[in-house]
Amino acid sequence: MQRFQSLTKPMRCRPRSTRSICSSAPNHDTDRKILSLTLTEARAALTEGRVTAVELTESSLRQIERLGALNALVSVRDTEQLLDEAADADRRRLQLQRDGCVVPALLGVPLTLKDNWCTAGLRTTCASRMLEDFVPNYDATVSERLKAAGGLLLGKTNMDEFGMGSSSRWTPFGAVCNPWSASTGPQARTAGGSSGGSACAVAARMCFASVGSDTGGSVRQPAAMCGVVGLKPSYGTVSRYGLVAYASSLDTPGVIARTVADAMIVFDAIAGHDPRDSTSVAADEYPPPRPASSSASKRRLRIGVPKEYHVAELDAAVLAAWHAGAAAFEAHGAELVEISLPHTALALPAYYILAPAEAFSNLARYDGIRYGLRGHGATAEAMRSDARRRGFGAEVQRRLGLGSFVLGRRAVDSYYHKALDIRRRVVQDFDNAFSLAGVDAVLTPTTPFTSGVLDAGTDSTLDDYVQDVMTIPASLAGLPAISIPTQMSKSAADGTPMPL
Amino acid sequence: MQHLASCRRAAAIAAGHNCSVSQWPIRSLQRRTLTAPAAASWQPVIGLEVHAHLATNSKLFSDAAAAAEAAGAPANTTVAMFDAALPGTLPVLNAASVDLAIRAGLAVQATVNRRSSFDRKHYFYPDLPHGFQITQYYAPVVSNGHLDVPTAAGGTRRIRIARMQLELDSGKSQHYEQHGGQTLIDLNRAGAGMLEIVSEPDIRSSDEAAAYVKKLQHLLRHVGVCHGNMELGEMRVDVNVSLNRTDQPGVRCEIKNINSVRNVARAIEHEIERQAALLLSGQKIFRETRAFDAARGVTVPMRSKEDEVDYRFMPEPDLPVLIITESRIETARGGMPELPDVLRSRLQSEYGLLPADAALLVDQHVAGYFEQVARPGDGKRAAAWILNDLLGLLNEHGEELQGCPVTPTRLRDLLDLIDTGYISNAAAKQVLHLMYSGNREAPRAIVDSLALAMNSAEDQLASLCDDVCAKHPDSVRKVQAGNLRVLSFLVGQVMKSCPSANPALVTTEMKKRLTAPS
Repeated sequence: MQRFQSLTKPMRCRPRSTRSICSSAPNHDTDRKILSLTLTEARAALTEGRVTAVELTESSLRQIERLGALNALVSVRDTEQLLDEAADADRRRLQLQRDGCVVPALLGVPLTLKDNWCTAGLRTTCASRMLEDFVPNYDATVSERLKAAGGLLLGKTNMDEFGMGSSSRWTPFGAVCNPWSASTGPQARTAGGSSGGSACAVAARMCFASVGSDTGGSVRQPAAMCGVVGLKPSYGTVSRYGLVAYASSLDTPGVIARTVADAMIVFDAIAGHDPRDSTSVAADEYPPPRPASSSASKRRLRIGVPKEYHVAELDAAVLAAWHAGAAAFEAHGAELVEISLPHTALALPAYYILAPAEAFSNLARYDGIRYGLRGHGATAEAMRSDARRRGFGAEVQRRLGLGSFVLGRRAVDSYYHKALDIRRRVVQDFDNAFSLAGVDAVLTPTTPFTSGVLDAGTDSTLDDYVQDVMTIPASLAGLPAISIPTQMSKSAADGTPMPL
Repeated sequence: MQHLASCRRAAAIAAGHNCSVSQWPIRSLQRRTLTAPAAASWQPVIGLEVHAHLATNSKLFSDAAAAAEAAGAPANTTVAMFDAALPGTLPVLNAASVDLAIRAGLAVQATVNRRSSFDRKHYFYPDLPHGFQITQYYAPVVSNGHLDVPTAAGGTRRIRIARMQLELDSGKSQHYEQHGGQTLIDLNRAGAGMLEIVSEPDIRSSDEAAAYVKKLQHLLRHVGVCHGNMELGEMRVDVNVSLNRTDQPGVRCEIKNINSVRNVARAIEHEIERQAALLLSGQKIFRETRAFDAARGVTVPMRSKEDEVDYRFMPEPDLPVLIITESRIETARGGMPELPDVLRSRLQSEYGLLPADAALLVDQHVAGYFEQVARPGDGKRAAAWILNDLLGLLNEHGEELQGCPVTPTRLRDLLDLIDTGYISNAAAKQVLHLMYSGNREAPRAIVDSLALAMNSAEDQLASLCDDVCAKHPDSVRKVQAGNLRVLSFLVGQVMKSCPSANPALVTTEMKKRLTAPS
């Protein structure tokens, strides 16, 4: 587990004038101290009055400015507005604490949202030229709930266009650089994708947590690449209302944060049934909240290690980390069991049939007529084609073509319906593991190899796809999954995180 | 509202009575001659797809108002975010729509499927915001029903209904030649819930097709599923026509978006002629989609079904499988009005009505009103007054029964006054007119205030008769000569001059005067 600088002594803070950010010189030391707090620690500090929301916000904003070259954010909200909100949060906290009332879980905590979450009045681009100037007139449920919990939205993070990609380079706003890279520019390492901006922002301490979306690994994989925690909860536990759809049956809102505890705080704030999302899990099906501290339970945790995950692409260092992780669990009293998930190898191609098919469908609405990039043409068809040709990037166009093909009359049985069948079998595999083999969880690496160089020079599209091999099965099955950073790789010149 | 005479014909047919084809609206002789030789060797095979807008308050998957066109809403004012396919929006199923679909299924003795699901049907058109229509391709909500329609030969034919599926309507495009050929899109209708009702190709003639559509339209109105006003776009019909011969199966052509019952018949007739003409001259018929040009009465090509659009059907991932429980079906069954056939017979038996009148009451959707007015065993007067006088007034003013100031209770009170001899028929008609025009007093009060109570005072009647006889000496002579029909005329004249006169006594009085042995 990557160790963060911890606070050695409590900070003494007095509420300052909200306008002072402009006048006082940026204090790197103060910022470092503040930004090294985890969300949990920041909350405690706010409660105890050791820090204010204004200070958290100011530090975060300065960090965003400092690290602009990482391209983590697409839009940053107005400073004045944010500081006003932060000051309000501080006042509200004092009031509530005085009155002995419950303080909203995220009051005053600076957060970011991936740019495919609709935020009323704030540009939502999905990293696409098609929606470059799109300003939604409504808030996604997640946006609403974060607001209701008192969170401060700093801005929207960069991503792969419409969620399609594993590198966050399919974006008109500049590829996201991994904050662990030695440099930015062509030799920079990828932050992963598609929620690369969110992962980078959290890892580079521009915000205390971020909410992204995970379709085939888009929260877990970038979190892994950036050495932070990426949580993809069960499909249906967090509402997709207001999430610009890529693949509806796979898209799952996910949380990126520095610790597991942080991630759970944000998850608890956004999860829950939403009648506006018909795939949202009903209230009475929702599991009861888990105990705050997972003290040693009566029986041993059984952890399954699937043998099929020893794929050819698996990096030696990653394999070593996997073993180390398993050993660590064992040392803590868990029971390790080898399990078999026989259809693992088929999951990746099945995903790359199902997801593009749904993408083809979900992106059919972008014709530039009601919103988005307006095309030029003498006929409606011409207008539509022009808008889509200019508005969609190369990767999106690739996947739309793929989706169109696999749903076509001649191909649908051999491709799409077969992929649906494989999906059922993957679900069955997990069912068997959980019920027959009796495991509580499955332990695998998040990605087969560590963060690669952004501009590798080779045609790395298929390599990108292969990255998802570890994360995809849980996506197909709708299962909850979490990526936890373990150790830094020693092999590469610049160490990169290797998570499980 | 139709002309009452044709209503009665229609009622007679619906009641299963023989009705010779010549009583139907006039067809051109030319058409008859052309189809005659064709009919000898080729059999028309016709299937219909009826799209009926569901009579719910909001649309199928959003909370925007459903009946925009009927309400005359300005363009693009009843559009929810989902209807415009804004990014991030999701469909939420309108439960009332499902209940209506269940009702429609029960009304045609169909199976309501416990499990059904939604699918996406993709095609690109500016008035289809999502780029796909949400429909039920793989597993519709209703299957295997039927509707019996009269045949030309005088019997009935059972038309099987293959399926009923819930689906969305698209918006509307309006093309303008000026302004450089602009097309304007109105999304008011986008997302409105429809039930697509698909028949098996069991229909054999244009008359049967028209009868099927009319019966379906009436049935859907009767059970409250669809208001059925085709001129408002609440229902439209696609027709599939082919000409088959035992040795040569036909090629099917589809005619889309027909918006009236009459046009259904006309379109089919023209299509049969067109196909017959091609076959007679030895040419091939191509599978295609055609439109009906109502002005010219012909079908015209729209697009070829050979290079058919590939709809790329895909299960709708944003909606779970629709599970309909037994109890939900039973609740729907319990909430349904009696089906028309059952209702017709019951009205006849319970109220002593003629079949034609019972049929007409059901046909005109006034049976419920009737039952609140009539008393068991004694429905004839109520039926007559409702069918002739009340409907006559409504027709004249182009108004609906809903909201009419003549409530069932008041009408019954009025009819009671006639029954007890308090007023005459003629006076009652006058009172009805007043009630209809907005007089809110009780019928008896109106009668009294206008002194319309039947006047049976013999001396007054006598003087009235004298006055009328004095004015119409010719008629008097005719009656005296033995022409008793003119007597009614004279009585009528007395009634006209004094509506409160007791017509029976007037008649007696007149007879006394004019047929007295001279």
